[in-house]
Amino acid sequence: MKTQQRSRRIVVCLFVLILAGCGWRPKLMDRFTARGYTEKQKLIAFYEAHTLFLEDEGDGKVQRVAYWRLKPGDIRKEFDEMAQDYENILSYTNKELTHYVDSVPGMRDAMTHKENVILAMRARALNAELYPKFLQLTGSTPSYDVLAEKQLGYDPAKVFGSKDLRTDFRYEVPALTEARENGTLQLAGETTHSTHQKFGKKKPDPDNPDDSNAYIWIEVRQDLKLRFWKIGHDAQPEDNKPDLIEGFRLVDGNEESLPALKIFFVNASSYNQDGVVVLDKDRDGDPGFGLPDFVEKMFVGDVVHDSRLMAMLFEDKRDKFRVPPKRQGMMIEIAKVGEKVFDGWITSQDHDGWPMPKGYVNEQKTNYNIKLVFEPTKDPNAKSRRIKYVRKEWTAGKSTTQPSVGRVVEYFEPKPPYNELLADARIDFRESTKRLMITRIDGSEERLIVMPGVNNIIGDKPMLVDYTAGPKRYRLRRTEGSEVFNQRKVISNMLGRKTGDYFSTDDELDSGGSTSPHHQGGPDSDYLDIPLNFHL
Amino acid sequence: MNTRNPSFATLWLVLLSAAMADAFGVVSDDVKVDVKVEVNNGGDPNLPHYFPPGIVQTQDPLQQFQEIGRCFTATDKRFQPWSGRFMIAGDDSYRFKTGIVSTCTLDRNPFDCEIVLDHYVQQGNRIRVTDGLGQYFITEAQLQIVKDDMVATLNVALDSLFADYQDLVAKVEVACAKALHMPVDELRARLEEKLMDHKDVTFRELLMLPLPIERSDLVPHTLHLGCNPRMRVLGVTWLNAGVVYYNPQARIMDYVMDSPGVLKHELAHNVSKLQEWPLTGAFDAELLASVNEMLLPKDKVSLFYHSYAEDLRELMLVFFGYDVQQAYDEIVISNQGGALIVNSDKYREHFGKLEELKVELRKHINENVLPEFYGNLPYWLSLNHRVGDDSTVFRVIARAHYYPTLLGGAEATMVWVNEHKPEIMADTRAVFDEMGRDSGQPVWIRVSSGRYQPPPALKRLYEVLFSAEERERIAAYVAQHHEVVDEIINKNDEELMQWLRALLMKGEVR
Repeated sequence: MKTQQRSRRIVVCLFVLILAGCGWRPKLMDRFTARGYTEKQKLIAFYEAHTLFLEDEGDGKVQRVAYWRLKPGDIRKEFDEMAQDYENILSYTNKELTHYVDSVPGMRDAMTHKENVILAMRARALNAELYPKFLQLTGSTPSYDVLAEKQLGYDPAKVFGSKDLRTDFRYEVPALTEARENGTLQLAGETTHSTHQKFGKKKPDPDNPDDSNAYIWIEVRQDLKLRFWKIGHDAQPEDNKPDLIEGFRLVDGNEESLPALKIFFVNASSYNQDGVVVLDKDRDGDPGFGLPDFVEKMFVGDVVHDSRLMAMLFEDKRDKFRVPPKRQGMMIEIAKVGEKVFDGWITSQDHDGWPMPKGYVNEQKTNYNIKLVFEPTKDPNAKSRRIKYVRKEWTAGKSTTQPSVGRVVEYFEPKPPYNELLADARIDFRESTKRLMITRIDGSEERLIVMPGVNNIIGDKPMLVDYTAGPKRYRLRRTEGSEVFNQRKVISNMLGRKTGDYFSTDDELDSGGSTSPHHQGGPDSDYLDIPLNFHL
Repeated sequence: MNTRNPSFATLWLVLLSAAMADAFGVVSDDVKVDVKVEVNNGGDPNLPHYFPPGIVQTQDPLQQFQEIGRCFTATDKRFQPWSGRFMIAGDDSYRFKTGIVSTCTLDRNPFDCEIVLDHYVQQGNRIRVTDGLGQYFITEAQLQIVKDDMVATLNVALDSLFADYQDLVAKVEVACAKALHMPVDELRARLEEKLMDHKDVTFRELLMLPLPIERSDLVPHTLHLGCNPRMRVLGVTWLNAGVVYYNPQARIMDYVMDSPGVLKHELAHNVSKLQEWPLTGAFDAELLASVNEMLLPKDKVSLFYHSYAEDLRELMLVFFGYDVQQAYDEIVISNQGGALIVNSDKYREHFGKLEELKVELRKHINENVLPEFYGNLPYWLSLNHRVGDDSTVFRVIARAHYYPTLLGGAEATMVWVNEHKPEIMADTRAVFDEMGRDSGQPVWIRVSSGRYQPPPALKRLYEVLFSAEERERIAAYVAQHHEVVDEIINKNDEELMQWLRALLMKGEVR
């Protein structure tokens, strides 16, 4: 069975290589080689190195394991890795692992439970790492470095002996506890901070875990209530600096049962705002809630504008996104070209048709450029062509190169006689982006300005309208006999980007890239027709 | 194999045959043979039809090796087709319930163990068998022999492994209680209590102690007799799932030894109470599964040749003085294009010496190593991680119980060790500390903005190596050159001491 995604296999291989390359054996052997030991002596020395993890039981004969050689941080790190393993396996991000886990009844539930066990163990190892640090930072123990190395090392009884970490290890400062008990801890203020983003975070699409370009948006809410506490009865204290800040995450407007954030300003002088920050990333009800994940002495200014603290307080919780991918049924269909046309047009169910874009036309209705769209021709040597559409490209204000709101483009059918075959038709854009220059078959020429509103050149109503709304670009059209734009389709966002550009066209994308046999211009010519064969 | 991959973690690679080919040249896979398969062609009709005719059971080490080599040569194409082809195992293959209860899966739900004979397909009153050499029919009677043999072999393997494991958890609890400085009865009384802050987690789970092992925990949910055409393996177990594949070649090998070692090895992987994926990635699961297979008296092959036994061979070398390479060199007289001429007497002599060591080593591991390992799993997994070695428990506990003997006996070796111990331990501490820097342990503690305290061990070292006057000069220098703080806290201990000494020598510190 190929059990894992390639990416995971690579990770596994790297892990092995890292172990092989960075294990202590080669490092030790290098040192022993440098000391001139023979191969056998090196092997003996390597095994003797393992006495580092042994200690005498007292009688000089029996050796026992010196667990304290490892630090709680070593244990925590191992459990970090294990927790990550379970996350990778259970998170539905790896299709093959998901299949494996779900192929055996009960395996997912059992592994989810085991993950909780791992998280409980991790919480204890982390606590063993953080609690001495907290005591030292708050001055509750005289100094970290006077403790013996052994005492700071891993002790299974200390790390895993507690039945309830929350009662056995209190992250409190005696002065504050005392003030709370004797009623001299007064609430000096409180504030609530709320942010809400509907499109807060982009996440990989759980229904398409193998597609790196598939995503979903996750709504983000950050609601935090802060309380500021001050020790003392004094109604007029010398300053308004708090001795303690407590922060509670709000869930549906309700505070979690325990503070997620505590900042102790013990021994803080007036010129030093370093506080001891105790922060719990876990949410109420999750494993590890009520136990800190972070303890540090740091400068604290405005909590809600401290991006580091806020990011930790509202870190994503894995369970929320552990959603099994939707299994969609397989749709089988044979669609033969020619039997039906799939052109993307969607007919509106509304009598008024699809809504038109708004606000792109100025009061005088003069903010547009004219461009031409020709009828397609099969003859590459044809000497004449017919205008299919006159295109009004709406602009922003007086500019001819800045697009209007929504980059609106309207397509009008030419009125007779301008819908007849012509020897040439161009926009005299250097003179005016509204000036049309035509050459008839008989050689006569005419220069015309396509005026706003009703005129003799184009129809009164556009046949097509292109516009952009949000991330998408649309095209509207009226089917025969319809007074409203009753059909709409999504078109490429690349279209309509070259406002006022008469040297190239982005509509080639839609026209299949064909060029006009009448193309006479180029970047250096004064006149340029718009070389389009426009298929709808 | 150190990996958290459920497939890679469990492969019992068929390196044995490769090792044999390499060592004795008895296997040639490239010869084109037009084989007409005859069922039990002259063999014992009471043995499974796929056994090579005339197969011999033997406890003579040389004969056992020779017989297994011959059987593998004869059956490689048949049972290790290595075609790269996918085949559907078990879909319409003959399967039957054994009546043996399995509770091996993580949910512990009891299940009647099922055996699947891969690509044995019933057609009327005949059974068509497909293997690497062709398709042929066997009779109902021959089928019954295969079924009986599988059930009997499974029961022998289960009994043997259960005998190894049934008292293990009691020993594990003793080891754990010792580490917790707690009477074992007190520990046992607490084990099933739930934690207050994680109400679905018991104290036993928190300590990673296995539940007592029942025979049913060893029984696979589904046991396949068949090959895995995209793997050259004798057996493979899908962790947490209770699915075991047992290649007919492995059954043949186990028959020759008169001990189902390969199946026992896979069943050891199958015990999720001891080998739960993905935790298996943090220790050498193969070595653990090999102990009660390769150190069995009837297995005269694996300890000497198999790659999974590498650490066992090293322990025998360091602590018992048994040098496999030396033995091999004395056994092999001549290598004639892969066909080896061996000294039979030397072969038997060297393998004979192994037997006593196997007994000692197996007892040591079952009595000392496994209880300590499973009794303090968080510690050993973390130590493995810290030093990048997935077998630390084997080395540490061996040194706790034995003196090394490699340098001409225990006395001579310990004379050398005692002479060099200070430098060995100085190197060891330096490397251990260096590797700890990546583990996130708090080396320097930031006490406030720009102020750090060194770890206690480093502070003591500093005080030993530098006089009070030198320390004052260094402190004054650092106070004036705050930019060096980052440099200081990121050096390992040895580098830092050298750097500070150089600073004093250069006279920059006055």
